Amino acid sequence: MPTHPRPLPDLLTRRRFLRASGLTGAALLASACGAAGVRRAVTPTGQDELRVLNWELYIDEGAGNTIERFQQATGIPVDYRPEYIGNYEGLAEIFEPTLGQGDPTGFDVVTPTYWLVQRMLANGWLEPVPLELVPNHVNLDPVYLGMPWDRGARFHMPWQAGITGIAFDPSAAQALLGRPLQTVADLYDPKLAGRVSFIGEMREAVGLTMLANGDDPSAASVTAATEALDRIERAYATDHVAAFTFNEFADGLKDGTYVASMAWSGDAVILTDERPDLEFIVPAEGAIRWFDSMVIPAGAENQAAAARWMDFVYDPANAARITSFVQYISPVLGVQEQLVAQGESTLANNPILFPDDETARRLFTWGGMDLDDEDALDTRFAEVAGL
Amino acid sequence: MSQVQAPDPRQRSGASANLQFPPSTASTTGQASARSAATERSSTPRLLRRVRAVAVGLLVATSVIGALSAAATDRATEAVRDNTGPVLVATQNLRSSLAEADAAAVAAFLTAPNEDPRQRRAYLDALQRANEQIEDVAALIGDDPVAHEVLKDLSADVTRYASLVEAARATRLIGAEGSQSYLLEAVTLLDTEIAGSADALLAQTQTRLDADTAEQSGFATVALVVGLAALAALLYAQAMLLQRTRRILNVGALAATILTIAAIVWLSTATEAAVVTARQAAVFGYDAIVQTSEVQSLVFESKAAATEAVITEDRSQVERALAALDQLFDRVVAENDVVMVRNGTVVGSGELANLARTADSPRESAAAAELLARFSAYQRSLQSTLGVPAEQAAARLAGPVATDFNAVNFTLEGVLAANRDQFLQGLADADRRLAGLVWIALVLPLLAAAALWGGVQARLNDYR
Repeated sequence: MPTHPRPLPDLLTRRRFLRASGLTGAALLASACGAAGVRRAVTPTGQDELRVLNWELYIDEGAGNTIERFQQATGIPVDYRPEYIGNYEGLAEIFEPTLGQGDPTGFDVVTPTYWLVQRMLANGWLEPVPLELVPNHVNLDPVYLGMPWDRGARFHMPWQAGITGIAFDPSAAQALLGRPLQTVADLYDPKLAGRVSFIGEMREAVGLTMLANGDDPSAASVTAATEALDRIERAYATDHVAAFTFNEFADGLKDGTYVASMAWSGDAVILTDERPDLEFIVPAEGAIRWFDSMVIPAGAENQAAAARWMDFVYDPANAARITSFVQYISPVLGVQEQLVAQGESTLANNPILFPDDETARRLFTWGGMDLDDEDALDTRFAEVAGL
Repeated sequence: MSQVQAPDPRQRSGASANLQFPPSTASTTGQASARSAATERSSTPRLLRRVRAVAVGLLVATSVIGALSAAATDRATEAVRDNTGPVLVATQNLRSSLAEADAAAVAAFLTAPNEDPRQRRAYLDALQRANEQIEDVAALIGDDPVAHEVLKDLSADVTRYASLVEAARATRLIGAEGSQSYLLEAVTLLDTEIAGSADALLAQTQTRLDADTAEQSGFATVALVVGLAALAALLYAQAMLLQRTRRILNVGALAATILTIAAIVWLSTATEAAVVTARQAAVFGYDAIVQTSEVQSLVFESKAAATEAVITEDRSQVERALAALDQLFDRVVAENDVVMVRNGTVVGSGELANLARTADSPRESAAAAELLARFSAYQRSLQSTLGVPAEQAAARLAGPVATDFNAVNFTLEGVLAANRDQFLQGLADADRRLAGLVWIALVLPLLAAAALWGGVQARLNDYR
């Protein structure tokens, strides 16, 4: 079984970096309005190479990594910047000042989260993917073809997907609840007061609570979302919720500070590798599915190279290497079989990476809300959570 | 008797009574010549004025008709861009949404009583989208009574369809009789009447498209005829000036001729280019939409027949489903078929092959190849579903078949969106070609008229 020898605390995942920067999505929204906290503007150089902007630790590393093999296979030099630290920051510090003024970003591929991709597309900030150069587009999981804002996925190619569910300590839950955690509603059980942490991402915390309320976050209404946010506010104000966390939930679970946490699946896979006594579940009501997508920003200089990159990472063999490292859900068909073929059966059979049909039924991607309403919710969530 | 002579008007009246002049040949010839010259002098200005009036009148008419023609062409192009074209796309998207809604409704039905919430969500989303698209079409078709009638039927049928799906769902969830009948009725309604209404709407839109594109050039022909008549009058005026005034060059008339020729050439080439561009865009857009529509109809028919086959265990529906697959591609899609289509070489026959053959760029070939690859997955999953016992088949129909069907449907929507972009780009190009044409058509002939007026007037002044 291929394991991840890296202990969790040493591993900064794609989202963990947010904590390192001391920022959350909502705080970054505030920073866009003039508050301090933006790490730095990314200023790529070089005209001939492929310039990729991605999240921290979101691709395999070490000898023979994907970037090296791409360069060898295509002869295209890659300026890979793992410096994308948040969607709000990306919007405020990179995309609006450049694309918003009709200028190129200086990158050929960037990897924002799906909801930002939707906004960028609506603003006319994206180039279509040159599909004639991406035969492996056919390996895209059909689930991602049906986004209402980009039917057929002509403007985006998902990079990795994940689930925001619940990680918990079964023995502590047994002691307090008398049973294992099963639902999002359990997070609000008074017996767990002060022993739970919520995720610091609005769409995921509010989305999970909407599920607990019996609402559908994939068709989120302002009323239902506000109701969920009110519930979160009450829980935090009464100290039922101990903290809003990102990756650091894992530390709290390991040292017993938290009994249960809203958690990201990629971190959960690594956590349960290290601590098999802890569990990650997709709650009975459901969980939130999200994904980050590769897009070509308008005016990108090396769109052909961007297409070659997309094609390369959509080869199941290459995609499997990335999955093996980042441990998120791959949007590429054939990765599971590839992992089996390369002897990583345990990973291939991990239901968090490859949800079965019953689990997939309970995964919801946030959507359906007017963008201005979403912005208002973001702002209020930041205030509620004190982020 | 003394001879009384008619007084010579050139003689002073006092001398005429006393002086007698013998008749003189030279004197008679001179008098005739003088009279002739006088007549000529008086008739040339008159003729010049007449020709000038005709030419100026024709130039003014050219200006007015040309400007109206350019404005009409512009309006027609805008109508295609803003109304007819979007109606075509919205109609096809509507078809796609309904196909998606149906796939989800069937899948949700087949998984009852443990209804798959994803399918239920997908059904509701797709149905909502379909209703929005009906509203979009209604807003775009303007006052076209035929289209409104078709749309009214379509809207009523979609409402009826939704009621049938809900009845099927409700009866299925409580285990009551008749749920399958409701579902089959819904599927049949979509496959026949709603599809027929969508076809009728497409046909009506095509009629409007033809009318719009015909309007683009119809008025321009009149403008060109009048413009050519004005040009002829100008040339005649120049010829007359040359003949009557012995002046080789009349600057005003020459300038008028040049301006008129420029106006005619500009109007004709810009209109022609705009019309050709718009027609190409319309034809490509419409053809592509019709072709995707045919592919989609067949994909949906195969799915509808398979649903009926699974629910009723009617063998003839299995045959119908397989026949629809064959009509799409006449054999099991091989990996190499996809590669060849991507490289621009299409083998085999069927609607998918036809669609691939229309690809005229690497991007379109790539889209056709992806569509074929997605169809290949659907083809395999549907064929394998039709060969297993009903219970297993129902599970497959709700699971992998629905997923693969949606993949084809979404990819088709992507192809359609790409065609729409190409279509709109073509219309934008046509619009650019028409930029400023109204003013050019208006001003150039008027300038020509002014130049001619001035040029002829200068000659007329010589006669004073």
